[in-house]
Amino acid sequence: MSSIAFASVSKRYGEVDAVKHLDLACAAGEMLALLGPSGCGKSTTLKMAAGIESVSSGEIWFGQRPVSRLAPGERNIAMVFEDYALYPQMTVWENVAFPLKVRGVTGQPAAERVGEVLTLLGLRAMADSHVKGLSGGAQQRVAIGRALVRDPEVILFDEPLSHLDADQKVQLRAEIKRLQKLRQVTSILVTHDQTEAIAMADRVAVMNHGVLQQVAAPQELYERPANLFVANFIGEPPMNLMPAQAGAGGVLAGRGWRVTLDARRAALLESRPGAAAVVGLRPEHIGLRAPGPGEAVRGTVTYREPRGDADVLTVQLAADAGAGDVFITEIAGPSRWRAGDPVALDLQVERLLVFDAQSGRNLEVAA
Amino acid sequence: MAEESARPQGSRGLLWTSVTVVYAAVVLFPIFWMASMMVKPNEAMFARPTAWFFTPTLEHFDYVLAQGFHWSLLTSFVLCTLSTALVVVIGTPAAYAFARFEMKLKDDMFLFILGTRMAPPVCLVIPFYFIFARLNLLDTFLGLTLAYMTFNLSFYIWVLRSFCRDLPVELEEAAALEGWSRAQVFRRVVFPLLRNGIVATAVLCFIFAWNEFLFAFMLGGKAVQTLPVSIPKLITSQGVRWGEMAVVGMTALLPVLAVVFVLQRHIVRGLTLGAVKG
Repeated sequence: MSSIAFASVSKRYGEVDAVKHLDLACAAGEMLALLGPSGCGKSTTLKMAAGIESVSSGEIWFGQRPVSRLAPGERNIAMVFEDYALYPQMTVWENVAFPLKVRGVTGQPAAERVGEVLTLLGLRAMADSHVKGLSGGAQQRVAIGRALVRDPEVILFDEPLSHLDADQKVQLRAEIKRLQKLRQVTSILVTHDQTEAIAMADRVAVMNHGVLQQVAAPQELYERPANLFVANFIGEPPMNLMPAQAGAGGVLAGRGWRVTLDARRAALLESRPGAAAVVGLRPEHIGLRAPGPGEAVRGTVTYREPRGDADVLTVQLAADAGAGDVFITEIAGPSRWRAGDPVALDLQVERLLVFDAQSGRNLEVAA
Repeated sequence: MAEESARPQGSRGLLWTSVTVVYAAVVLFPIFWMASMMVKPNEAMFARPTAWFFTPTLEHFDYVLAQGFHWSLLTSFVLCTLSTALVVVIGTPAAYAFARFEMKLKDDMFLFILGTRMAPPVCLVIPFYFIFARLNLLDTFLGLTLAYMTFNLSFYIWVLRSFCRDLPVELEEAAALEGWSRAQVFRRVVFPLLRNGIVATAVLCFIFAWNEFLFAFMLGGKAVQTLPVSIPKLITSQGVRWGEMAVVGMTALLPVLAVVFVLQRHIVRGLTLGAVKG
């Protein structure tokens, strides 16, 4: 197993920068997810690691070995594709045995190895079936078997679960995670699905417009997003992001609400008095109560989306002049709130995030 | 869907069946007529009223063999097979390259290739004649093979490129990751998947070459005489030898029919590959 490091790697297609000066490392045995919307450069990054795409500038290291000039076949990597990319004319067994065959491993050693992998993946029973008739989940398991069979240094997963049904998705997610930990194989997972990235990866790298936004463990990403893009991208329903005005004494005010920050965070604002800020608060960090007299933050429920064990409520705040901000809240369900109900909001100030309105940077995350 | 259309029901089904039968009869009648002319005595050929029944004769076959028409058949066959084989050998990698590789002026080159097919053959045949005359290629196998390749190669590359584009590129990437070179990937992964497309397109090229008259007439004609070119010899000063013409015509038709029947499965699958994938 070896680590992977991208050192100032860029990729240009003509005038378009697909990936800009990417610095990113994946430790040996780690699973790193590349997460982002389509066109953010995550697949290009993966293909550069695979050698399918060339590197415009910078270097990719596998351990101590620079690989950016090596052909794909010389890098000792395996790849699992979105649409499985199994050889349609071959059986399950032949597909899994293929990488061994190419390397001249045949006969008893190959049979043992293939058999072991098929058993590991629960594919023993369908070894002789043609891959075309199999379900998507089974096909992807075959593809994973093909990747594992020769103990590659690195496995690259390119949206491996995108084409699968929901139930197979969950099953295979756990399966991939289990095998990756079992074999301790360094892996990069490309996905646009944050649930997938958070569930499977040790660390997640969020990309947008070819630029790396943040690399962190899933929980860290959720609690301390480095900037507005990550804050908005991670979490469902998305984080409430409200423009706010910083006042004296750590007071932040928006339209229809006002909070006072603790001393530590107030200090961060001190250096920029009167500056525009953006406040972020996750829907689950807002409580609802029946409004009493003199409530600081009050509004009306305009929409209720029941989700079984939770309710997602849209609340329109009341403001002194004009309409106030709109907050999304997520509370335990089924709740008694309905559209039209007046409510008071408990904003959990200790969970509040403050972003610079110009740069979008989280003030608490060091630059 | 297939089940339903295979067994149409009620009066609508009957109507469609009759329409199909009538249409088939109209289309097939000239072929039936030609077949009957092959064995019709000359006296019965244009008898009025039409002679539906007559004593069959083989005299037309004797004449055709005596005049050496079977050599033209062989020439046609060798020429078309040779040129089609060369088209496949040269055109398959070319089509793949156009589908997959990044190169400068790719679209312009592709349009140029297509242009050689779009130009009316009669525009090309005169320069061909002069060039071939200088190179001593007139009336040679090599010359006609080359001439046929120009119009078939462009067609072949054009059609096969879309087959190549329909193949998932990930298959090739997966094989490349295993350490195969581009050539190995092409031979072991792409080629087996392209087989139906290659067969379908090659059959069309063969048929184009088989039916070709203008090039064969202008650039060949004596030493290398294809079947279509040999037919006008039957318009003689003593009149048109209709029976013999029917024999040669049917002979020209049979290989085409045979090829289409034998390879029907490949052709249909090949030609509908893109359509099915959607």
